[in-house]
Amino acid sequence: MGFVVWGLWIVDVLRRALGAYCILLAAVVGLQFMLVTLYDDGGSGDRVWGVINWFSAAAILIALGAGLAWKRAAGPAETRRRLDANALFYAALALAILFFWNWAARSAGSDDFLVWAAVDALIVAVAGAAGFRLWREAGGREGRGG
Amino acid sequence: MIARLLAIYCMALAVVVGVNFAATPLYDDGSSGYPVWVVLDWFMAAGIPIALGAGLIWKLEAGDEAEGEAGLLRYLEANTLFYSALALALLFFSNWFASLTGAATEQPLVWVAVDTACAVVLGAAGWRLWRGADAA
Repeated sequence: MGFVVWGLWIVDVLRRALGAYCILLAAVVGLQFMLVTLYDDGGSGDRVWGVINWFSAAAILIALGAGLAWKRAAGPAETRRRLDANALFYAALALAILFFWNWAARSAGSDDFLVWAAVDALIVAVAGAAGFRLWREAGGREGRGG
Repeated sequence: MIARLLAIYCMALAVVVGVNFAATPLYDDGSSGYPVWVVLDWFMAAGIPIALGAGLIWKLEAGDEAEGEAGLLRYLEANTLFYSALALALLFFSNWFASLTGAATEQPLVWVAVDTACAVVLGAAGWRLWRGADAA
């Protein structure tokens, strides 16, 4: 019995940690995306993005995995949960494809700014939504409100 | 009273942005630096956070509502408006700050998306604020 309680506690802590990570990353990407031109001197903004991209990659994979788990867990009669889960999963999937494609292109110097604009806006929405849902589920509340 | 004022502001701004966006090619070839848009951007910078804040409140309210077709519709409406306003805010402020600082990252194509979305999102948010003030 003690092992089960410990196991559930660890899963809860892990969910909270991943949720906090995704929420924080969404906030950082959103602020950096809007404010980068205010401090960029022609190279510093790009270097900051170079670091953030590694953290974004982790958050996107977390959102994709969580979205897949929620998609599989939503029952056929739970319309709202199914909508939430499917919207999050497919948005995360599209985001992952665009992000990793443009990130690879960046290393070859052929990345597209407009794709980054779409990717950054999507990261804020997808990682933020996944993070909030992970956080609330750790608190024992059903994840609602994509 | 405040809700009505915010609603009027959002709806009027949506109309002005929509009409000016369609009419800009008729009176400005871009050589003057689009002075009307330079002024309008400040009003959009105030209107977009209103739509984002209202969208967040409606989204949180809709999340607590009971299931059912009516509840589901309100839930879809609230989430659509909130995430549209969020994307609009990110793209607008990113491109606006780039234009204010003269950065090379300002994208004309992003302005096309922002101006179109601004007319739609602010119009919808304003209309819903107005109806909400009616019901209160």
